[in-house]
Amino acid sequence: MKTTEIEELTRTACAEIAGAESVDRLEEIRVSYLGRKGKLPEIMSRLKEVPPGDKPAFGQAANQFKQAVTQALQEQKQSLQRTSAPANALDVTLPGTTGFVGGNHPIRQIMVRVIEIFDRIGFTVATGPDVETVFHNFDALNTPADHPSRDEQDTFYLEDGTLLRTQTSPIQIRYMQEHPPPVRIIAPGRAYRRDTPDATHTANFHQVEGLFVDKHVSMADLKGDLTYFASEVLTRDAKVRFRPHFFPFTEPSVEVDFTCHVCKGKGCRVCKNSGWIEIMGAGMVDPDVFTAVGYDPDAVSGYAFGMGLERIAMILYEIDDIRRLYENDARFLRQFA
Amino acid sequence: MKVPLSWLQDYIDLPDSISELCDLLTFSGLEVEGVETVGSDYEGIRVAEITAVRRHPDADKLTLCTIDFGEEESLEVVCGAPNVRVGMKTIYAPVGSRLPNGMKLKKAKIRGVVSLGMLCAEDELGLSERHEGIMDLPGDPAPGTPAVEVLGQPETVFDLEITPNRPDCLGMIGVARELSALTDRPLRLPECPLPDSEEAPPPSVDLQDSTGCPRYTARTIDGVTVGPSPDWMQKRLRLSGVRPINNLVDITNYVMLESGQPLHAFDRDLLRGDRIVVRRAAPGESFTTLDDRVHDLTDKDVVIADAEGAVALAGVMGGANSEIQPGTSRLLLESACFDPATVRATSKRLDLHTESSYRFARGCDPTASEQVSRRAASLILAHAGGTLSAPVADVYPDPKPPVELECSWEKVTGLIGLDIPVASMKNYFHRLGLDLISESDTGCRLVVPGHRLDLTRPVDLVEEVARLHGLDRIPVRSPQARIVHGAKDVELRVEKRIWSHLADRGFLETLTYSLTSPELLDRLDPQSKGQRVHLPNPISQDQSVLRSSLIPQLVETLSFNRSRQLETLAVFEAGKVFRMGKAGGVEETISIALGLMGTTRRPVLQQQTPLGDQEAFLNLKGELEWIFQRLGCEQDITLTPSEDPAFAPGQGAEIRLRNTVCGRMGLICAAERERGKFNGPIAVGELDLQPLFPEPGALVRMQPIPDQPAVTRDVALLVDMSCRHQDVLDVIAQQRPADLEQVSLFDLFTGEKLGGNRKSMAYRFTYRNAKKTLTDKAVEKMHRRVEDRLMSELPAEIVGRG
Repeated sequence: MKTTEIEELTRTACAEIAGAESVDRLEEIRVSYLGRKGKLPEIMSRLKEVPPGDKPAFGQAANQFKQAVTQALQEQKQSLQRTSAPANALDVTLPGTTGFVGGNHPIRQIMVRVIEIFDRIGFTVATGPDVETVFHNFDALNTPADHPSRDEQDTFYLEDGTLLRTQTSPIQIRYMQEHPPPVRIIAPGRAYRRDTPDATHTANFHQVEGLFVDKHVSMADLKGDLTYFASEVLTRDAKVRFRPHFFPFTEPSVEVDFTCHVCKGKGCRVCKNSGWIEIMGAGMVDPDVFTAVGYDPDAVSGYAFGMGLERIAMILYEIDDIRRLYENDARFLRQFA
Repeated sequence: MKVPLSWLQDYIDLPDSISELCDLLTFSGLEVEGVETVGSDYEGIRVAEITAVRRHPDADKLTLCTIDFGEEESLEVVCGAPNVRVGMKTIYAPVGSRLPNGMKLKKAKIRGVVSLGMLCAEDELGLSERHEGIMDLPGDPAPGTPAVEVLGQPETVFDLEITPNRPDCLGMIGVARELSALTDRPLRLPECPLPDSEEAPPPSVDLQDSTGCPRYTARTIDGVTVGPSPDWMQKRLRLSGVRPINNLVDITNYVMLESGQPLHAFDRDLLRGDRIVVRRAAPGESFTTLDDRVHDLTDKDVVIADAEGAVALAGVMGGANSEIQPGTSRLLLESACFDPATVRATSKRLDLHTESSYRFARGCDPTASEQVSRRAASLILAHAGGTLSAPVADVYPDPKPPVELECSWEKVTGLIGLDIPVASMKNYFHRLGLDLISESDTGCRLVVPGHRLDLTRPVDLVEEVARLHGLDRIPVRSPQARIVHGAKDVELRVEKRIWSHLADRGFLETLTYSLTSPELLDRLDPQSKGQRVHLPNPISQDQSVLRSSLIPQLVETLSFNRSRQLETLAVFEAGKVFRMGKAGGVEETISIALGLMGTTRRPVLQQQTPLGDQEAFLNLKGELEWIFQRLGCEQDITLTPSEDPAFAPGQGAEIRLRNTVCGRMGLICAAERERGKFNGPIAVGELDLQPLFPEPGALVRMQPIPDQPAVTRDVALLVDMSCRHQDVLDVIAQQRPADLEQVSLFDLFTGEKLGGNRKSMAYRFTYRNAKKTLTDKAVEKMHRRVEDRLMSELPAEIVGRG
């Protein structure tokens, strides 16, 4: 027997092993090669016939044969075991024990986000009652005595002459009455208007109000702080645009547009091709408001802004009807979880 | 307000670009809400003459019109208009042409007859909303004439939002004046030369209420002829949304739209006593406005009266008794200034809202009344004929002095946040018509023109400078973060933690309206009756009371979702609830409510096993305990059975914090279960959050961790069905050994084997001494005493030990 024959035998054995499809068959193969009556003892029995000079090479070949077959058997056995599951194997694809999706309401998420953004530049949260006095909701906010918004048509009054606040701005008044300047507050809350419900109106909605009063506060501060806010809440590098407007409690007053978050200002369906989205009303606190709360309008200045959270949610999430936000359909709410 | 571009161009030369104009207007504060093109170039559409008309064979309301439209061959179109007649000149849109609304005409079969194109009404040509009949063209245009030649070039109309502070912009000239200031282009005001009037005493005007009417002017014109106003005027009125009536009425409307100040024309022959009295109405005075509505007036209303009675509601509407008639030949033209608040109040109380009341309610410039009257008179003389029968009567008892404002350069630039050169500011003021009367290093003194009723305080000048300089030039100043002390947001931080904790526990947060229906509260929060806050002027009964609890709407939410085939749902809402306080006034409290439907708390693979009442209750209780733990008050909470009828009998509980009620929970009653079509128990609970908030600054103190081993004893007690877990704990507490560290229930069993009225409760007792290792014997001694007490006091039978 020559060493080449042993090498040939090694290849045959390895091929046979690789073709084995069960552990039992592997055992048969093992016995036929390495068993007491198998090929290996047969080879070893031929050793005596080998010329002495070739004996070391022959021995080495026999050894390699044994090693190769043993290793092939081992590998094939492992490979077969991998494909056949043990009795206590788990179905790792089953659903986990708690598969329920919970989540905060989109309005809540936005409210928390707005507060967090202003929290970072030193704003404190302030709150106030939903049931307000005429003084806090209108008078102190410089609303003329016969302003239409005071009508029973537009405002919910209670028997005792108080009202459901029509805006979160009375929180400004309450806060300034209780705290000397400087003031930096962010005030979330519900506001109420006597609107007939439709796709863009509900009897109550959420607002967030901001107020910053100090020495030398200017419209440049308003623009700066809102630009920071726009970049955080909508889109990086957002810009802010002011349009002149009128509110009784600020002078000058502006409407504030942010760069459209969808097209980044290029113009698209969401922003009606303008590149801008109207987000809030703002302005410099009117001196009459300062006077009403006992601040000296010559000593301080300030800005205020207010935004409707439903409106922002509708823009951000492309919600078609404000009433969906109050309908509480789980299929709707889960989309924002 | 609708503003046709061509009308503006009478007063100012404007840039060609429409979008540039829109930006100019919007950034000056006159927001362009829309731009409309009225009409089109009408390509392919032309004049046609109807040469024959016959009935449609199969439709009563349709006719077949043969038309000549300038081609060799005539053709036939089907028409539905009632006004067709032979010889009529109208507008024909042939097959293949496109209407202004984008519709392309195709050959169509209408009730079996082929129609080649259509004859058009005004709405189809984008000229107005009118669709009473097809256009009946005046004059004699030749068939085939392109439509654009008879209908005119398309018109651009801006729709402007005029803020309430700018009544001066409620007219074309006001808008043009703004554009003139913005672009620094000259303004051309209409010239209104009037011939000398006849020598006669001016009309008699008795102004009795100069508060309600600071200025009243009256001009009399005799010999006018009522007829249609010129086409150009009618077209402008239509473009502005005003319906043409006759030359006299149209001219007053035209001048109102031009100047922003309303006017009124009376038939002078109908004015009894030939005099005008401006006075407060007598209480109970009755008056019929020209829309034929009868009003009861009060002394809050100002009327224009003749010698016998009211002939107009000042600034709101004229009277039926003195309006212009087709045969009117002598007229009295009123141009006056009325008090905004009075007009607003009258208009609101009588629910009478007109173009006139809208403008006067926002304020008008008394210095302009006479000029406006001149303008109207000159147009009347030009388009209705007649002569000025007397000089104007102009009653202006207390001429309003011009407003003077002090402007501080530093204040203006300081508030804007930008250094604007003084020369620029002066230029802006000049362009706005503010006359500089004196100047110093620090500022100047300005006279405000009469039409700028909104400029009353120095701060009002800031916006003028800012918008003329350009709001886009205001720099973006980086946030100047600075801490303001006195933050009171601890509560919000705690709430935020609960909101996000519940979301993580699989609860969906809901939001419901603060306003709800009393009937719903009666069902699910009956105990609040008598303390609820009702609205006297609700929009609907469904939203007529402020919610006193979050549970009712939470149950509605569960039911809403159940009806959309959901089997399981966990929801919560956090928000305010409202009750009348004991001392009067409304008390607002922050509440949180949780609701569970179905087996949401079970592992996924056990969802289909039906949910028992006890399990449903404990699921929700467990969730509330999470919250108590988060708030650090779990030791102070107890639940006691409650009789709340919202819950099923024996399945509701009051939640107490150190003996003060702070909430309720339970399984909703059978009636509610049925109403909501629920197919299993529904557990809901609500907490008043404020009392649960941790003390501000409360800190945890570390407790030593025991290093001695614990010894446990398990005991299964067979007790009466009515025995509660708390009863067991109470008995143990009566004589609790010092080394008994913990008692915990680990099994509860009821079953046939035990008989229907008994149950088995298994407890584990954990003993430990902080200082020494307890011996078995010592534990046995303590434990025996506990067991004995349980057996005698509960009573209980011990059926197993471990």
